[in-house]
Order: sequence, then structure tokens, then C-alpha cells
Amino acid sequence: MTTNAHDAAADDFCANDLLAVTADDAGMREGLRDILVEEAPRLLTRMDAGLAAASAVLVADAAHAVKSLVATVGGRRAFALADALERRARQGDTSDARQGADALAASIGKLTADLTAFIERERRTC
Amino acid sequence: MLNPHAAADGAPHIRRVQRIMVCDDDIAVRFALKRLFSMELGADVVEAENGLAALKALRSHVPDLLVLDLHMPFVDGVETLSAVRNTPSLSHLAVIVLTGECGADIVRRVIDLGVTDYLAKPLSKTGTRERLKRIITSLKVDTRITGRPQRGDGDAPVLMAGAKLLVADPSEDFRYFMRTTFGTRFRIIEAATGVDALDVALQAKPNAIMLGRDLPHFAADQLAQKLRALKVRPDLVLIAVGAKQELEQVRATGLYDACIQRSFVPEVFTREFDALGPASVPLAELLGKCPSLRAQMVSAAEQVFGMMLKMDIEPRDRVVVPFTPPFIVARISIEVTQSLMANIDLVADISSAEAFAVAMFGIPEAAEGMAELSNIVAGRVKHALVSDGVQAVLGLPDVRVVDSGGPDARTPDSLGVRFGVAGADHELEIRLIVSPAPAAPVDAAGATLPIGENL
Repeated sequence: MTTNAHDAAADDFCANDLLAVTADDAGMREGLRDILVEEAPRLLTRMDAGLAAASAVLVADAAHAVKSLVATVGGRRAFALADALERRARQGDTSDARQGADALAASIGKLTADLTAFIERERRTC
Repeated sequence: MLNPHAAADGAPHIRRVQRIMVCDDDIAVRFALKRLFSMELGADVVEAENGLAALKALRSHVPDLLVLDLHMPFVDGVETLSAVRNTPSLSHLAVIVLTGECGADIVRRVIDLGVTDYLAKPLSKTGTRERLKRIITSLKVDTRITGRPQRGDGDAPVLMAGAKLLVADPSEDFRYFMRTTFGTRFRIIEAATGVDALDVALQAKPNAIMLGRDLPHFAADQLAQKLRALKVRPDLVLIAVGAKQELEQVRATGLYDACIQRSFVPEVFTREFDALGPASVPLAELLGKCPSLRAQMVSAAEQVFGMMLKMDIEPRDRVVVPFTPPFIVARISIEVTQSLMANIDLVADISSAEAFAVAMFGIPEAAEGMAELSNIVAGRVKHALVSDGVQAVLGLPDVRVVDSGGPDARTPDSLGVRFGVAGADHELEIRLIVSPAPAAPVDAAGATLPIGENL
């Protein structure tokens, strides 16, 4: 995945990406959702701490971790936002990072909701 | 893990993958892989959240397979892999790296350290499952060197340049003659008596022993019997040297691989000696001695292409013999012995060659990119030759990359594998060619060119 305007405008949740990772394993989808619910706030807190300390390295590392997490559960938009944050932070640029982090948090919130709804729908269908 | 039962009845050694360690700082990736490995393979999976945790766990728990992320805090994947390779008890551990984004320098470092395969991130279950099948299959192949192939009557022994040759002869003059005539071609060890010869043979395990007829202590035939019985090495070549009138009787003993008439004329003796066997090893024989070489070649190319392109690369066409390529993008020459070259050609349609280079290196200079790729592949194949013990079997002093470059002549004696990028038109082939080392190229005016100049 690369960062571009298309990705930035991508869906918060892409079911196809999730299905590529999990295929026929519904249990894996539920497990990944639980991990997202538990891990995402922790990683966003790490990013906040990096921003508060004005540490580009901490911001970049936190963004990288978020990127990896959301890629596994079909979070296309969150991935693009985290990727942009990481790239700029790696160059020492955290000027717009606060705004980016807020957008990322919002996208992860939407991702969590969409993912949960997807799993619920799937459960009802079965 | 080797299966001792399979070894006992001569069946291939089977390596079972029952214990897997997954090392990744992303808990979601660890969870997904753990679930996949447990359900698909029934494997016990141990998790490690970074390289440091993995190295600690590896002290007490050595898995059959380590799946290692490259980008991790504290101790990253490259550092972890380096530590694994530098630890004797872990140095042969099968390692699969997880690659997301990494530059050419990291890819080169990882490949140089030795990895079994790679998985591209983000993971795809189907892709990972398919890849797993291939990885497990490749782990099932016993990559140890096979013994010397049985030779039929009349087949000459093969003694490669750089081989260790023990000259056991009471004549100081003959030993001096051998030293000066063959010293640059073989590693000559000397013994003046039968006892010394046996002692040296047991310690130095030479590739070949040349036995003079009048050895003190042990007569040549007695020593030959002993050496065969003691199985100094399975591929030991025994050469009897004697007067013309003795040779028929010596041959009749059936103890020797070859008999040569003694001579102190270098041209005559060298001609007789060279007639014993070919100066180069056919491709099939080299592959026979190093059964995993081709697999290593394939896996090296797959790893390089896949890691550079950050996607799964699948072989499309397995074996092509003889093979006429549309275009050789680069030829990597590896000097296997003084008289033997192994060439690895990277072959592609001329249109896709440049696209490949650009895709892999992000630069328009295709030639530069391909040279970089050539070096990486050559390094891996060299590593395979060394680690598989081909050097030991052939008695090679060294295997070194001689050159890498552009298109060159084609040869039918080759093995090839065609690779394709999923969803793209680009295809690339690699093939291995083994050929006698060419004489230094000469240009039209007769001046000698440095090797590679014509590539």
C-alpha cells in the first residue's frame, strides 16, 4: 500500500482486505477485532505522548505500529493516514502531526465500528 | 528435525515443522500467524514481541522454524538474524522474514545472513498458506551433500582443481616433481612411507591419493586396501603410479580408480593425468553433488525479487533444458575452480527487464539495478556452495564471484526457472550454466581484455 490522494480518501474499512488476511476463518476476524479494540487506544496514547514530548521518533514509531495493526484488519484509510504521519515524522516534521493524529483516531474509531458491524452481520447470516 | 527412521531405510530425511516461533512487535500479526500455523500445521507456536524476547526464548526453546519481522523496536529483525547465525546451536535454524517496507541494503544484509524464505506484509491468508506449503516442502528436502556418484567401468575419476592430493612415494625426486608440476593446481600433501601416508590420509582426508609402488612399511596395495576399508572418505580417488610393465597387474587388483605410468616429463605426465577425467564437471554432476544448489538458486532469486518488490513471486516454469532465452539481462560468473565457471544468467524479455529493474530499485538505470541484483543472487549461490559443503567435496580452495554484467552468449547446457510477478507482465528467468573457464578474451586486435569486459 502506498500513500496517495486515493488512499487518503479510501474507505475506513475494506472488507476485502480483511478477508484476504482471514479468508474463511471467522474466529480470526473476531480475534483481530478484539485486538484492535484493545491495542489501538494504547498506540494512540503512545502517539499523544510523542506529540506532547515533540519527539518525531516516538511519533514515527507509534505511527508505524498503528499502520501494521490496521493493515491486518482492512483499515485502508487509517493505514494511509498513519503512513503519512510516519513518513513526515521520519523526516523530523511533526508540524501537522496533531491534526493527522486526530484524523487517525477518528478513522480507527470508524474502522472499529464498521468491523464490528461486519462481524455481527456475518454472525447473523451464519 | 531429521527423522532417524527415514534415514535408516535410506528414504529421504524428513524435516517436520512442529515448533514455530513468531517474532513480531504487532500483536495482530502474531495472532493471525499463530492461528494459521496452529490450524494448518498443528504446530506449537511460541510468540516473541521483539528480537530481544526471541533471542532470550531461543536459549531454552529452539523451534523448527523462526518467523521474524524485520522492523521491530529494541532488537530488530536483522540484528536478531545476525545473532542467530552467529550462534552455533542456532546457525542452521530455518528463518522466514516478514517484509513490509525495507530498502535494498536491508534486503542484501538479510539475504547475506541467510533466510529460508519471506512473507510479504500485509499478510494474505491464501498467499501465506500457499507459501507455507512451499516452505515446508523445501524444509523437507535434506540438503546434505550426497555421496560420490557410482562410476561405471571405464569412467575416469574426477579430480577438480584445488583438490587435496596426497602424494605417497618414497622418491623425494618424484614428490618434488609433483610439487612443482601440480602445486598450483592441487593442494599437494606428501608422505614418504606407507605409515606416514596412512597417518596423513586419516588426518587430512585428501580427495585423492597417488600411491607409488615401493612404499616402505605398507606396500601400496596393502595401503590401498586399508584406505578403502577405513573409508577415509566416500569419494576418495586412489591413483597408482608405476612403471609401464607393472600397470596391467596393478589394474587387475581392482583397488585403484586409475593407473598412471610414472614419468618425470611434465608434459607427458600431465597429459596422462588429465586423461583420467574431465577438467570440468558437467552441470548434472555439480547438481548431483549439491542437490540443494538449484533450490538455493531459485529461493535466492525469489527472495530478492519478492523482497524488493514487496510481493509474492511465484515460479512459473520449473525446468527448461535446453533453454533458449529471449534476452540475457545479466550474467553472473562464479569461479568454482580454476578451470570451472558457474554462470547464472538473469533472463527477461528486453521490454520487461528494464521494468523489473525500475520496479525493484526505483531507478531508471536498469543496468545498474540489475548489477546490484546480480551481486545479491551471486552471493546467495556462493553461500549455498560453501554451506552445502561442495567446497569440501570438490576440494575447492575458494568460490568467488568473478564478475557480473550484461548479455552474453547462450548455452544449451543449463537449468532455468521462470518467475513472474502476480498481476504483472514482467517475467524474469534465472538459469545455472556450468562451463569450463574461458581463456581470457581477446579483442579483434589481439589484445587481452579483462574478464567481464565482453559481458
